[in-house]
Amino acid sequence: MRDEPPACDAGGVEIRCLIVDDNERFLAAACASLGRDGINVVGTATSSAEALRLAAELQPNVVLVDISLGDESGFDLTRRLVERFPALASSVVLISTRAEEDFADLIATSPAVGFIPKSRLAPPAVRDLVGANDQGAAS
Amino acid sequence: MRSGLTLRMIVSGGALMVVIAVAFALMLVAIADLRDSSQLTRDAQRELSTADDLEKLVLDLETGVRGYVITGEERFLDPWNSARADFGATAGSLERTVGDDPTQISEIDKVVRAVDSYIRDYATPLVSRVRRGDPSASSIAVTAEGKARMDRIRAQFTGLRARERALVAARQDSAESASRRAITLAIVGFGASVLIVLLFTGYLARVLVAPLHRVAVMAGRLASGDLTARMPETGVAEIGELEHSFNAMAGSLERSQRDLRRLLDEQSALRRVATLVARSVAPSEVFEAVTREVGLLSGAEYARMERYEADGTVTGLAVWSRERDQLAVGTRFSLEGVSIAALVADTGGPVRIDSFEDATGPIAREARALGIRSSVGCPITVDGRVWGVIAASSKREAPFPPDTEARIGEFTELVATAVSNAESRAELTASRARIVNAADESRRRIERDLHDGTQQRLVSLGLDLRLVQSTVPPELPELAQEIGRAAGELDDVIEDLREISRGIHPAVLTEGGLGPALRTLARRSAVPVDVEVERERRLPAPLEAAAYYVVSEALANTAKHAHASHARVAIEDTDGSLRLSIRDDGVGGAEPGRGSGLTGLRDRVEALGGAIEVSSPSGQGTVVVVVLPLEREPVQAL
Repeated sequence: MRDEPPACDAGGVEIRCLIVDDNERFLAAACASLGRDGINVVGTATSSAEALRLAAELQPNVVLVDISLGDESGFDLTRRLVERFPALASSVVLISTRAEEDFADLIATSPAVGFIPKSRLAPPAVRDLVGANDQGAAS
Repeated sequence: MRSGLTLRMIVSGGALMVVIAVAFALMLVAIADLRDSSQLTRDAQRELSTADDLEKLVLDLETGVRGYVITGEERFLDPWNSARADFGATAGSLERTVGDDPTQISEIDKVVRAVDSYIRDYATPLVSRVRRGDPSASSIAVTAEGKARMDRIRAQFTGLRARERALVAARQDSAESASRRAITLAIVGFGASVLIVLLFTGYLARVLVAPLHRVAVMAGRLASGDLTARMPETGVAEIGELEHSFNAMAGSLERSQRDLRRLLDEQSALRRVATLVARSVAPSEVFEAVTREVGLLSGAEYARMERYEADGTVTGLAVWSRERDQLAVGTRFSLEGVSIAALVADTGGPVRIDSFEDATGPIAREARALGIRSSVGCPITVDGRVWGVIAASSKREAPFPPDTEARIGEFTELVATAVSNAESRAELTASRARIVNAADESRRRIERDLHDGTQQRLVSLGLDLRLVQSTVPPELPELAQEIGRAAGELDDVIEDLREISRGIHPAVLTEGGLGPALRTLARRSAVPVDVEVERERRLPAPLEAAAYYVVSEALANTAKHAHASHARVAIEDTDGSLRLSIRDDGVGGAEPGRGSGLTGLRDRVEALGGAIEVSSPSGQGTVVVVVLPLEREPVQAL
């Protein structure tokens, strides 16, 4: 059921986004918020295993990974995603309810392209981070 | 029963006197002999001269008679008359001088009879005839008869004198030999006396002086502390008793000294162990020390300490051996068969085994393999239960002295104290660790609950509000503005909550470990901080929490009190311990325990078996050093 993209409008946008978070409430809000402004949320996952499977299946060009995935670590998932899907090398974005400065060290050493606080999660922030080089990968 | 020295002195003195008395008696006898011989010689000489007198009288008789016969004058008869008058007395005198020599007496009798016959039968009738004027008186026949008679008498005298002379000579010889004998006896007696006196002196020296000298020498050695000094008990009587008493005294002194030294050794050993216990050193150190002391004091070849396990086995805790071959420490032995450990477990008291012959079980086998003949062991009773056992084993034939158990027992109490202390400490430490961990755990959980629940919901709500804001028709700008304002306020609330969460527990510590967490802390610090982490790796959560809070508290102090321009945090992760040092270049003078907040950290550090040290000399900055063991010694390994 979670494999299905949430009910948000994909509307012919160039960004295919996978969101990984263990909080369903946030997933719903994030889908609505991002999809509203032309980001195609192709799927959501609540665990690392699910995220890796969907990444292979849905071929997203952007993955948003929550740092605190319950007992799992978003940093670990980021590394594994980038290892397994080299195309995602500059397309994994870390998100968290906590501040960037709390994880500055870990974010810096992670292969993720950047960090967006969840409270600031919005399509422009995502676009700013992943930039233009993802557009090629999307097509 | 030996005869007394007095008796010996009396006997030897008496023997000396007897020998000397005999020598003198012999001399006296010899002298008496000599005197007798001299007397006899003198008698014989007197005999000779008396015989001469008698012969002269006989000559006077003849001369007188012959002169009268020739001259006829009466005056010529004077010698005859006087000689005839004296003859009897002189002859008697001669007989007396001869004494009781019968040969001489008969010879003298013969002479006297011949003279009497001459006087009676010849001279007197002749004188009568001359008086009468008988001419035949001067006849040749008559003269010849007179001459013949006189010749016979003379011959008899000659024989008498010759015998007398021979007798004198014999007696002189006898006197001389008596004299020589007396001289010889005197010399021999003197020599023998000298010899006896020398022997007696030598005997006294041997029997009295030499042993007394040995006693004096030995007394000197004893006085100078050589209690092994002994002397041969060869003396007689009281001297022998003296030697025996001295040896007994030395033996008694030596035994007393040995007992005293043994007691002293034991007390020193107990003090050494007690010091270790009082210093709260690691129990393994106490076990080793006790095992060694017990082995040394009991004179054993082996000593070992074992702990009873719940599964009915024993574990070797410490071993000591006078030689090389060691029994394994840490190995478990089954309690099957005969062993000190099994007996102690059964009886709960001290036990001894005097032979492992025919005994079964792994411990008995090992004992036989090591050549152990006898063992003695005592229980270590901790809080009323038999916790372990100390055993000493000997390869010698003789069993351990009867007081061995008591002496080992004194050590078991110290071991029990050490174990009890260590267990109490371990329990205390464990309970402190549990309290600290529980507090840490609940903070971690609260932070996480806040994050997973409230924060997530507020963030989602914010996103919803922004979404709603974006859907507000352009003709309602005020509504959009209101919603935006509410969303902004929500962001502030989220930020406040984030700050609170961070204070409750740093998520980065859980997420990234000590290095990232400390660097995050450093970035947020008001004073510039260098962080150097020797080895980036994840450690057990309690350790990371302790290290993090120590640094956090130290840096907070630095910021609040030190007026420092710089601080430096170093984490060294080597040799099984984590060493944290936080130093600043501030004013120093921090006193732990006076509101510095460091005191609270002590519990946390000590709960982990660590140590904290604060050095803050005034004007020279503050250094906080904390060492946390990475591997905790489990309580079971006590």
